[in-house]
Amino acid sequence: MSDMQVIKEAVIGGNAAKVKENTEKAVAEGVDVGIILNDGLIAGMNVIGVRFKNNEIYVPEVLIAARAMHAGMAVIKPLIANSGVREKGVVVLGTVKGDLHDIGKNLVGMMLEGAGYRVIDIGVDNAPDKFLKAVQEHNPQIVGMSALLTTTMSHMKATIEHLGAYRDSVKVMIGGAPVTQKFADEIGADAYAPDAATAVEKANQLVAS
Amino acid sequence: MSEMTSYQRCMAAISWQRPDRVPVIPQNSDMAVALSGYDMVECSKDGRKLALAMIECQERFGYDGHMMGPDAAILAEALGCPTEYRPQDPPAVSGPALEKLEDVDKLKPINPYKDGRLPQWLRAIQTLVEKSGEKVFIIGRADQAGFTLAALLRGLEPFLLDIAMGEKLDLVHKLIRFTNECHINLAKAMKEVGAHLTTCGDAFGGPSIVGPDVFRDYVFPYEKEASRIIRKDIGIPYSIHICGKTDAIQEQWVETGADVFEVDHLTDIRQLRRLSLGRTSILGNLNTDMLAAGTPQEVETACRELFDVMLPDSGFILSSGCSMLADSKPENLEAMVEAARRYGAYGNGGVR
Repeated sequence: MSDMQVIKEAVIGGNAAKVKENTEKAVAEGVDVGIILNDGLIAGMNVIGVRFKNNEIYVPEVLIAARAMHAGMAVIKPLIANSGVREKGVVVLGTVKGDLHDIGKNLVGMMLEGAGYRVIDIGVDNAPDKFLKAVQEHNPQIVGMSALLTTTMSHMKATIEHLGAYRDSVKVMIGGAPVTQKFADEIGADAYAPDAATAVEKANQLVAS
Repeated sequence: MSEMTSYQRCMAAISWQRPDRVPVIPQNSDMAVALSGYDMVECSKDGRKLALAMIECQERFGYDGHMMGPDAAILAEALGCPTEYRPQDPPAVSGPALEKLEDVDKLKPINPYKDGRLPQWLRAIQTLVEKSGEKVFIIGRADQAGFTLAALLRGLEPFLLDIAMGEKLDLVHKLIRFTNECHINLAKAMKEVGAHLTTCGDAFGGPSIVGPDVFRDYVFPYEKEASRIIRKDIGIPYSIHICGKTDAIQEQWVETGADVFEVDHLTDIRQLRRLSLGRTSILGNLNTDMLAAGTPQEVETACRELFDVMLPDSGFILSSGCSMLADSKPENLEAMVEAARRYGAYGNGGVR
């Protein structure tokens, strides 16, 4: 098995110590940071995303894989700035006002990071103004909003309206258990993702459009 | 057959006898509070007000039962989780109670008559019993079941990592045993104040979060234990709510012996019906989004589709799949009640 294959498999298996050790080894051997990132860490999270989407694995397995990915990211992060590796894009991510459930949002964040995006996680219970402030501060390509409760998803529409003129430069992606494509269309969101793996696909489409 | 009271109709449904028609119990206490003019904070802290709001709503729409909720924070709060109160939404847990798994040893079992807001919930049921008596069916919520309550106390992600890492599984089980006891204590109090059925939420234990293997080892044994104690020893029918997906666990879920499963529109209702027929009744599973923003015609159609799956068997209560939005259209709730009256009759042909 190649070194990158070892890192990839260790991410999939959620073995943080092994990911860290082999990432350090690859760096010491002079392997390009972009290759470690894309062929090792991201490749592993891609497999996790597909398996999660297909109900072959569940949230605990994603959490443990993301933890392993972060162990590798921590090793290469200081080297990325000088490596010529560019982030795919910036995503501001949060749950909407009233919603304290963050598991779905966190999974999306992990998968987006695992796909090469820089994620600005603004946490839970964000009023429309908090999303706007984060957009002004971080200049993202995408805003991701999550709601796990039927009772809070109505705040998504208010947030989209509140972004006002920024909507020209920022795409809005939404998700969460009660959210549907129909609802996304109704409130004028640019994309709906039913799960964390699809969120990555949709983000890729949004930044390419 | 002469018309039954709402109470008789619901009892018939959950005990696989023949009701005159399908009973309706919406999960609409948010809506009841909103329509009453009280705000959610005062109703969360004053069980009598919550009950009065629910009674007013039931009398207006004429459905068959009161389902308290969906405050899913009350046991977690009584056990030390920080909790946020919001004017329009029910209280919600905003952080864990345990810094580390070892802190399970510091937890003290709850007393529903003393701790936190639990006495207010008992007061709500007492008020419902006083006012609605044996006419309307009363569901007393025993909050979250063992697995989900344990996840709230520990924090969902750390808890799932504890399980995935597999290093302190004895403490994980110790925590779930403890939280399951708290849940059972509350169920017992619900029986004592006069509820006709007690229910719980265990959504973190379903396949929207964990797989069938975690369900088998960490969720199922505790649900089964709670079901046995609550039904046999305490003597009150028992219902379990898992919203989100349930298809991958249904076969084992039926073995809990619960009287009722509450599921939402993400469940394959035909498969669940086939697996649970004659054993566990189903309460559900209209899409709450449709109830909030759809049309009465859409609601009627969805109800009739459900009746096609469920009837002519007993063991079915028409409901929303989860908690209805506070600002759901009243005409949609009317359409739901009307659909049961118009199309949900069992007739004289008997029940399979």
